[in-house]
Order: sequence, then C-alpha cells, then structure tokens
Amino acid sequence: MWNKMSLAMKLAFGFGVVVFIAITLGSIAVVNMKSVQLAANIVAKENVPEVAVVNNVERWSLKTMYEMRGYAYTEDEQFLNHARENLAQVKKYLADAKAHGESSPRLVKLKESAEKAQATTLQYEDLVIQTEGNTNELKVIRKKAKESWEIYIQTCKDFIASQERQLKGELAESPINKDKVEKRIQKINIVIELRAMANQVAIGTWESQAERDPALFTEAEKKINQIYPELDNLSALTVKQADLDLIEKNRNAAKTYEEDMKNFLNKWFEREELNKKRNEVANNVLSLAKTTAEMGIEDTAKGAENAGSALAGATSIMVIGLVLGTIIAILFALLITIGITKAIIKVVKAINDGSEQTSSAAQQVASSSEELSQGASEQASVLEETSSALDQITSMIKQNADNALKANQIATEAKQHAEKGEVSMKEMHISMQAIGESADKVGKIIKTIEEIAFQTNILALNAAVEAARAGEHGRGFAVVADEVRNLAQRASLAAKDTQSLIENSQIRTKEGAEVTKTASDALGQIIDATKKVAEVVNEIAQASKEQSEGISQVTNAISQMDQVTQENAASSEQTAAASEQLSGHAQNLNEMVLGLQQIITGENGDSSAQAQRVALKGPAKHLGLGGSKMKLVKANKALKEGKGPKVLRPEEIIPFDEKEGFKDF
Amino acid sequence: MTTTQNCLAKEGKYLTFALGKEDYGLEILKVREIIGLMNITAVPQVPAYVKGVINLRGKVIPVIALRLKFNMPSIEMTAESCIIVINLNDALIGIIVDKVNEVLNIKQEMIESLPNCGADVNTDYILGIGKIKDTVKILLNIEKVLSEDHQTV
Repeated sequence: MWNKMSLAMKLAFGFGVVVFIAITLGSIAVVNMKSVQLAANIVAKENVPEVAVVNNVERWSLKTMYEMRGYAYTEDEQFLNHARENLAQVKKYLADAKAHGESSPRLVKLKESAEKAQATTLQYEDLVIQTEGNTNELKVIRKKAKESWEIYIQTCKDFIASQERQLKGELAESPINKDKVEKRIQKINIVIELRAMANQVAIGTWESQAERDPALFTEAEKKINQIYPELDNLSALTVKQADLDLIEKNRNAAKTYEEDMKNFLNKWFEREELNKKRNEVANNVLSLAKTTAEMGIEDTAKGAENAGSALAGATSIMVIGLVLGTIIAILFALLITIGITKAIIKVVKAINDGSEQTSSAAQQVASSSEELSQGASEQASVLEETSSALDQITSMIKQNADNALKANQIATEAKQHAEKGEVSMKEMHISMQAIGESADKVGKIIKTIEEIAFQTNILALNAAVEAARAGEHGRGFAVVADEVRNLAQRASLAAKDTQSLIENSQIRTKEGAEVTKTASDALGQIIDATKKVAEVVNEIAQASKEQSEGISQVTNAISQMDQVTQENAASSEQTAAASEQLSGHAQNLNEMVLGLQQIITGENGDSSAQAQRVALKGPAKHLGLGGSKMKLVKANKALKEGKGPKVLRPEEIIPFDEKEGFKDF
Repeated sequence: MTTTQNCLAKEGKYLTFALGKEDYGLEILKVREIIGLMNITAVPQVPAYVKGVINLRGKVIPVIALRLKFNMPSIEMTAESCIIVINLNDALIGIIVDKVNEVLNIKQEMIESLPNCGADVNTDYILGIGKIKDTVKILLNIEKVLSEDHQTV
C-alpha cells in the first residue's frame, strides 16, 4: 500500500502521523496542565489566602495580646488603644476568613474555625473591657492608697514636727527633764519607725507591683499590721490631744491604706485572673489560627504535591510521547527521504539526458540556421525573379482586361443572335404544328381510299362470281374483274404504304416539335448564359483592375519580403551563434547536474550517469548532426510525431507508482 | 366408296377465304354474292353460331358465324370481315368469314383427298385439299357443313 501511494500522499501521511502524535501529546499535556492549573488555582485562590488571612488573624491576635499585656503591665492608655485597633484588625480578618470560608465548600473548617474565633474574640473583647475597668479601678485604688499614704506620711511628719518642737521647748527648759526628753525621743523614734514601716510597705507594694509578685504585696500588707501596735505604743505615750488626734488620723490613714491595699490586691488578683483568662482566650484564638493555618498550609502542600505529581505524570507521558514521536518521525523521514532521493536521482538522470539532447539539438540548430541563412540568400534571389515575373503578370492582366472587354462585346452579339434564333424556333414550331395537322388530314383521305379499294375488291370478286356463273361467256368478264381486283389491291397497298409514311412523318413532326421546344429552351438558356457571361466578363475586367492594384501591393510586399529575408539571414547567423552558446550552456548544465548528482548520492563521479551519457550519444548522432537537410527534416518530423528516440513521459522519469521505488526499504 | 367420291372434288373455280391462318375453298357456283358487313338482327332460341338474320335487298336470310361452327374461338369483326351469301338448294344463307381472298381456278391434279385421320373422325364436309404453290386450301362441302343448320332455320 505504501508503494502505491503518491509522494504527496506519503508526505501528507508522514506529517499527519507526526502531527497526530504532537496533537495527542499536546492534548495530554493540556489536560494535565488543566488539572495542575486547577490544583494551583485551588492553592492560589483558596489555600494561600486562607493561610494568609489566618496568619493575619494570628499576627494581629498576637499583637493584640502583646498590646494588652503591655497595657496590663504599664496601664498605658496607648497600649489599650493599640490593642483595640489590633482587635478591630483581628475582627476584620476573621470576617474575611469567614467570607473566604463561605466562598468554597472545601474551606468548611476555615469557616467553622473563623466562627469559633469570632466568638472567642467577642469573649476577649469583653475581657478587654473588664481589664480596662479593672485597671481603672486599680488606678483609683492606687490613687486613694497614695492619698492615704500621703496623709499617713504627712501626719507622721506633722507628729514629728510637733514632737521636735516640744523637744526643742523641753530642751530649752532648765533643767532639762530627762525623762520627758527621753519620752519625746522615744516617740520620735516610734514615728520615724512608723514612717520607715510605711515606707517599707510602700516600697513592698511598689516592689511587688514592679516584680509582679503578690507575695511581696502580702508581706507589705503584713507590715501594715505591725504599724498598729506601734501606733498603740505611741498613743500610750502621747498625752497631748493634738498629737492623739494626729495619731488617730494616722491610724485611720493606715487603715484606709490597708483597705486600699486589700482592695488593690483583690483587684490585682482579679486582673491576674483576667490576664490569665485573656491569655487563654487569646491562646484559643491563636491555636485556632495556628491549626487553621497549618491546615491551610497542609492543603497548600497537598495541592502543590498534586500539581507536582500531575506535572510529573505529564512530563513522563510527554517524554515517552516525544521519544515515540521522534522515532516515528525519523522512520517516516527516512522513508520519504529515500523515496524523494530515488525520485530526484531519476529526475537528475533524466535532466542529464535532456541536457545531452539539448546540446545535440543546439548543434542541430546551429547547422540548420546556417542552412537557413543560405536559404535566405536563395530566397532573396528568388524574390527578385518573382518581382520581374510580377511585372510580366501586370502586363498580362492588362491584356486580360482588354480581352474581357472584347469578350463582353462578343457575348452581347451572341446574345442578339440567340434571340433571333429563338424567334425562328418559335416560327418553326408553328410550322411543325401545321404539318402535323395536314398529315392528320392526309391520313383520313387515305382511309377513305382504303375503303374504296376494299369495296372495289368485293365488287371485283362479285364480278368474278358472276363471270364464273356465266361460264364460257363470262370468261372475258372474269379477266376484267381480276384486273379490277388487282387494281383495287394495288390501290389498297399504296394507301397502306402512304398511311405508314404519313404516320412516320407525323411521329417525326412530333419529335421535331419537341426538339424545337428543347432548342428554344436551350436558346433561352443561351441568352441567360450570355447575360451571365457578360456580367462575369465585366467582373473579370474589374477583377483584373483590382488584380493589377493587388499586384502592385504584392510588389511592395515582395520588396519588404526582400528586406525581411535579408534580416532573416542576419538573424539566422545570430541564431547560429546563440545555439553554439546554448550548446555551451547545455554542457554547463550537464556539469551542474553531475554536481547535483554527487550532492544527492554523495558519490564521486557516478559511473551509471556516465554510461547513460555515452549511450545517449548514439541517438543524438542518429538525429543527423551535420547531415543533409532531408535528414534534419525527417528527424524534426519524427520528434514532432512523438516517434523520436528519446521522448520521455514523466511517469518514466519519476516512478512514484513503481514497486522498485521502496523495494529495499 | 362414297368417301372416295366425296374426296375427289371437281376441278373448277373456287372462291377462297380465310378463317384465322387457314385458307378455305368454296365452289364458286354455290356462291350467290359477297357483301360487306351489315346490321345483323339477332334471333332468339337458336344455336350460338347462328348470329341472326339480315335484310338483303328485301330478302331475309340467316347468317352463320363459320368460326363458331368449326369450334374456333370467336374474334371481333374487322374491316376485312365479309358475309358470303350462298345458294343452298334454292335457299340463301350467309356465312361470316375473316377475309375474302380471290377466285381461283383449281385443276384436277392440284386436288388431293384428305389423308386418313382415323375412323372416328367425320370428314364428310371436306371435298379435298387444294395445293396452290406452297399453300394448302381446304375445299369445303358447304352443303354438308350447313345442311343441319338449314333445316333448323
């Protein structure tokens, strides 16, 4: 089947197979790419944004946490504001996460997580508000405590000042009441102690606040309890009402402070609790965010893995397909290349033959154009002869015209004579008819004579009968009767002869009449013919005139022909030169064809082509190289009729349908 | 013997006439006259050969077609056809012949008897055969030919 296919079909089939493979590979790749694209799309549009949004939630949650922690530690409003802002961001991203989770059925978990986180965030927000409240309360308590502490310190200072004043007074007394002074110093010392204790408590509270250690705070609180016995001691020593009032004031302040301390501690614990809760809640959010993010990352990883595996599958299919396609394409390329190369080699051989033939033909053309040149010169001489002959013809044509005129006159005369003849013929016809009539009359007369002769015969016989009856007497009468009878018979015979003669003459007359008619008709035709002859002669005369004009034109034409012939001679010489060049070109072509053959076959100097060229030289010579004119003409004829020795049809040159084309394939 | 007597015709003059190609002879004394053809009045209830009667100068005479009598084919009358009026036992009778030839004088040596044609053949009405030059004339015994006819008429 492959051998029966045409080259175009083979090419089309080969390329078709390759294209089919390419399309198949391409479509497989496209399908795989589509699936990869789908996975990547899922990754890009669902998983990555999921992770991003969750990360944002996580980030902003962390930030919120940090801000809140900062707020909790520093009680700076700025932190709170930042925390609120961050919380708003968290909410926003959670809303985004929920929206994103709702956008795809694959992100149900995200949605759930987002919802949970939202709820938790609300809790957190609540806690934030609580924290704020707590912090504010703490601040109030602290302020109050500070105030109490300051009152305490002030009373202490006042007390010390009054004691110092009293001490100064007592010291100024002489003698100095040693007991009183010692009491006074004791009191001052107690107050100083009280102040120191208060300071210690304050330091302890601050320390505990600074250290974030409620234990320290509790210790400080315990220290307040040590103040009270000292105060009792002091009040026991003191007698002055003012100082007692101061001590009382101090005691109150200490008590208030203690209460404040307790409140503070409670609040603080509360705050710690809140912090814990907040952290838990925040940690919940964070863990949710974390798990969701991990899930998202996992999904992304899965999607990426899927895409990767799909890509790997596609790559392996593509590689296998490419290898197969390349093998098939190489097979077809080999098949088609061998086919084309063989065909082209044959064509090249044919071109080689053709160029050989062209070369020989060019040589033939050269020789024939030389002959043509000779012929042209001969033609020129012949043309001169023709010119002189034409002059003779011109004079002859003039003579012709004169003769035609004469002939016209003669024809006119002939016509007149013929007309006269026709008239005579008509008269003769009439005469003939008259003769016929008189012959009829003569015939009737002869019949009468015959009857008379018959009657006479009968009479004579009767007379003979009578004579016989008369016997001897009637003998003479019998003789007479016999004679009469003889006469009657002779008359009858004569009448019969005359009758036949008359009948003859009648027939002749009829024939004559017919002949006359024919002659008359013929004369009429002669008249017509003479008319026509006159016309024709006229035409001849005119034609002669035109002929003479034509001849003058012919003369001109011949002079032109003479010129043309001379040009012909010149151009045939040029043709000879050109054909020699053509021969050279043909040889060049030959060499080029050999080169082409070498290119195609890769061989050096194809021996078969050489052999063919040698074989070709036989018929080329046979075509009459430098032979006689006759031979050349014959060869040309043979070429025209397709009987030439080397007329190749394309099927013979390119054997597309031959089986040998791919036999060794 | 009677045959011999009948066969030997007398020498004398005979009127010769033709019926078809044959010539016949008739004793001239038996002939009354020769006339051309004239109107024949047909008579009913007679044999076919009796053509009818004619009026000859006041006398009514029967006319017989001799061709029919001799069983010869009938022909059209011609210009030469004639009626020969014969005197038969003082009665006149006409016979139609094709043509009247001439009056011949036949001598005894020119007459021969009819050769014997067979016993059954009746040759009573032939007197003999007249030899004139190379031709032969049948000499008729007209009385015998017409005898029965006459009686019927």
